[in-house]
Amino acid sequence: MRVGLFIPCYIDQFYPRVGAAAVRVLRRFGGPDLHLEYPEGQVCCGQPMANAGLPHESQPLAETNLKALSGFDAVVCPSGSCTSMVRNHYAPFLEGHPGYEELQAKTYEFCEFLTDVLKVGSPAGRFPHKIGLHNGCHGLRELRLGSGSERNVAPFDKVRSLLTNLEGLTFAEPERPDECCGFGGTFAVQEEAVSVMMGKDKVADYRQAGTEALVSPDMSCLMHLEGVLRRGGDQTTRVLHVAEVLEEATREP
Amino acid sequence: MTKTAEHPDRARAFVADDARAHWHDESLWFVRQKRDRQVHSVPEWERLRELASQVKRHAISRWPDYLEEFEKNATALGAKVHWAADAEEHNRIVLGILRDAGVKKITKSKSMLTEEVHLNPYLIKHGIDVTDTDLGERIVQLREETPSHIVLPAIHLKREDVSETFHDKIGTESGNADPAYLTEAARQHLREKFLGAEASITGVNFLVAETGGFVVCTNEGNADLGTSLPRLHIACTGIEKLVPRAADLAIYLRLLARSATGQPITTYTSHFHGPRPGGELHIVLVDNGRSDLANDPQFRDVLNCIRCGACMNTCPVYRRSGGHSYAATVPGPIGSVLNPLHALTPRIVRESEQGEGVEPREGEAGDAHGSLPFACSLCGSCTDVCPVKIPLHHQLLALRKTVGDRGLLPWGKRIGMKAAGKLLNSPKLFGVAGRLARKALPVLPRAAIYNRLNPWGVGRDLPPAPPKSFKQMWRDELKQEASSPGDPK
Amino acid sequence: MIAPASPASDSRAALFKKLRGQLLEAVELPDLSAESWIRYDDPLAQFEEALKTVGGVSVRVPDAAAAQAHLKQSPVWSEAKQTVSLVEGVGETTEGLGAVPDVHELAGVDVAVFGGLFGVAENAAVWLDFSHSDHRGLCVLAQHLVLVVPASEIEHTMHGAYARLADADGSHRQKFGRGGFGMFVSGPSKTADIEQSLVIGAHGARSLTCYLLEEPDEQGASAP
Repeated sequence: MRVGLFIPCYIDQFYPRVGAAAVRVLRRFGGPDLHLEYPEGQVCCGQPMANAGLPHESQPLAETNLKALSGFDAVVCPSGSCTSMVRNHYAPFLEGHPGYEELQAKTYEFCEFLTDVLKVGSPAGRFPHKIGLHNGCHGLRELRLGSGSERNVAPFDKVRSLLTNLEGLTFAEPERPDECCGFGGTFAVQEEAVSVMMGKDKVADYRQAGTEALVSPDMSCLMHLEGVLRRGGDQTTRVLHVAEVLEEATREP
Repeated sequence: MTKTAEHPDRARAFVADDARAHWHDESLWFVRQKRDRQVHSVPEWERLRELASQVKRHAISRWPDYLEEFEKNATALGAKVHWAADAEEHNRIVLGILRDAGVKKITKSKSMLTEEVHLNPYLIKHGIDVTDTDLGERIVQLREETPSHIVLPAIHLKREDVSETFHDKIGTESGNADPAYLTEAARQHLREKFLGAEASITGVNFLVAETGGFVVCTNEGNADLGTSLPRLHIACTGIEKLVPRAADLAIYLRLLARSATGQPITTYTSHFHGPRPGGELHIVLVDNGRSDLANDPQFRDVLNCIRCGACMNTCPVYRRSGGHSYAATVPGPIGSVLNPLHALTPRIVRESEQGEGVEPREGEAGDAHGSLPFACSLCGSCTDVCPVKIPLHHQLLALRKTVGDRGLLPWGKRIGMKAAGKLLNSPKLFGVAGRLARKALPVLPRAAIYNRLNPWGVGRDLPPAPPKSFKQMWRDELKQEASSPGDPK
Repeated sequence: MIAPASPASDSRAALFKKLRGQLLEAVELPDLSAESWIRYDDPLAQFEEALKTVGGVSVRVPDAAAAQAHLKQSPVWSEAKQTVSLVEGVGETTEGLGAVPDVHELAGVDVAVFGGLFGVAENAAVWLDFSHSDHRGLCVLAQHLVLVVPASEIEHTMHGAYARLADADGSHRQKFGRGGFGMFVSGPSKTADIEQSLVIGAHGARSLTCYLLEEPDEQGASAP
């Protein structure tokens, strides 16, 4: 299987370690048949402009990505939000373009690719920390990586299922498990006051639940939460992408 | 243009009182939790939402037929049906009915429609004594404020605020802020108003086309007390409140109170079919922009709204910025869709008929609510709690485009995003800019990064800058690692 | 001065013209009879449980006489000065209140007794039918409300409730179409408008007691 990595622009610049962890985990669980590639022609998914009310500024980016990411058996992206952009919001830009429907169908969020395509179940490994798991809103409610607290459906959580079998790992249970962290892209800047209050509340909720490591499948939420944590003087709580946890936990000694 | 900075400014002011903002957030989260418990007691909840959405969408797809059916049946039952194109006509009709009956004193039960059309000030200006009887509405009326929530009108107030207002206006003990005491005082105060009223105005929760009747839901009993005493009852309603069949009420009554306050049903669910014996019943059906909303498939589903307020209770922004920060009759996610939509749609509709360059009519200043679609982190919780499945966060995103298309975004944002789009669409440029930033960040003095020009940095640190981008790492090490056989270490 | 009203038909005609001019895609009206809804193992127990959560009190009694005996011993009754009963054999009507011409004269009623046709298990709602009387004001004017409902007449959900109220053809054109008033009452009146703190007794009844008659006699549970 030829897999194209779609690395969000902020991960490329600020969190390359997350991309590296994703590469290693995919290699580890994908076996010898999985051929990973990183198409260098890819660009930002275009979400900032679309969410700011200027989606026509996103159009060229969608077109660039269609070109760069076509032809793979799967495209994997370590971000629920960027994956959702491709899957749920590219239609106005790419409807009718050859290859668009294929790209839409074959683009997976990282955790979802592990659970639904590679079917890794709950891998064994060791991660002796109490983690606070933050499922980003777009992964949760736009990609349905979990059941969510609002709906009355049979409970499931694809992200959590990847971590449940790791030795030593326990979950901190916040009082509001899927309340938004307050990042929201341009919202973080436009509604700075509310955004920061949401971030502080989220951090406080994880703290009271005994969180040692804050973990999420979305690094953008974590960039915001880490910013709040560090500004508040907390330099010790680890802030990690799920890929990093899996990489560390399942690394051969 | 500074208009789009409005909600953020008001929100910032609300957030500045940290204790109160947190108290407000907790109060509404409490309601959300009660809602969740009720939702999980109904196994067919998701099916009910689907049906509720479908029935409403069906009703709108045959809107004129059902309106006609309702009118015919209501008239046959002895009610008088009135049609109002807009707020002004609605208010004129209501005043006319009151004048014809020689009425000077009325009680009103809760109605967001009459808030929307600003009926109270209109009637008061014309010499009518209007008493709002829902406790929360009465509190805000005495304070000369507007409701900050469509179901919990006084949710922004503390018991001490209410105590002070009641002491001033209805003579309760100074300093007594016990909710039971204050509620009892309001009960006594309003009983007199009920018994002295010459007419009663209510809102409507559901109009039933099949029977010509309508349903009003309250917990306090104010609509029933109000309508059962005087002989004149005026029911004011938007034209979208229609359901085809009485049997459909079961769906909505199962969803409404559970979504709104976490109760299995409201205390009183009253079915009005025609006037009381010897009484008079008027039903005023108001368009006020609603008919324009059916045209656009992207926004049509807002007409499903049953005004439960669940989207407000779950909205992390509403909870932390307060209802008044929206500066609109309906706040929160649904308000952030409805208000800009009502401000922008009539002009868009006229343009589609008459071509570009249509002059705005009075009150069509589309920028008035331009910041509301942005008062949202796009978390999508509103969409998932909505009992009638309005895709609220998708509509908020789509409305941002509408606001942008109409040139209502601030100049800086338009230029900034244009530049960002250019930069982000070039892997090469983006790589260079990123490399420069990552090199600069660690060596710049804090003041150069964390200042007023950088809203990010007011309350948050930036991530530490790594030496290499992912792309560089891929080229230098990962590519080889990824293609080497065996498990990479 | 208010401007002279434009002919009412103008706005109506304009609205219908506009709505008829809109071409909306057809959406089917769902067939509710094809749905399956929750059914409780013991709807009566569920009704009692739900009534408790909405602030009401249920009392199972064998018949009207037992309800009467229980009611007479309750503090609500013993403190009452004026009462009205619309249920044969349960409570009684204070002299002079039986046929007042104006509901305003009932403002001092302490306890009112109504017969409910049926209850709803999922939410403790009781259907009160006022299509043949104009006593609807009494059930919110009275300080305390007493309902008498046959224990066998408990619907599982609101769907069952509306099925109960339907005509033979499943529609509601005949029964509702005759006019009149009916209401579901679930517990005593309440508000939480001051700091979300629940206060029982807003404008309507301060308490609601529901007698569930296990063997209702002929008149005991008839409609008012």
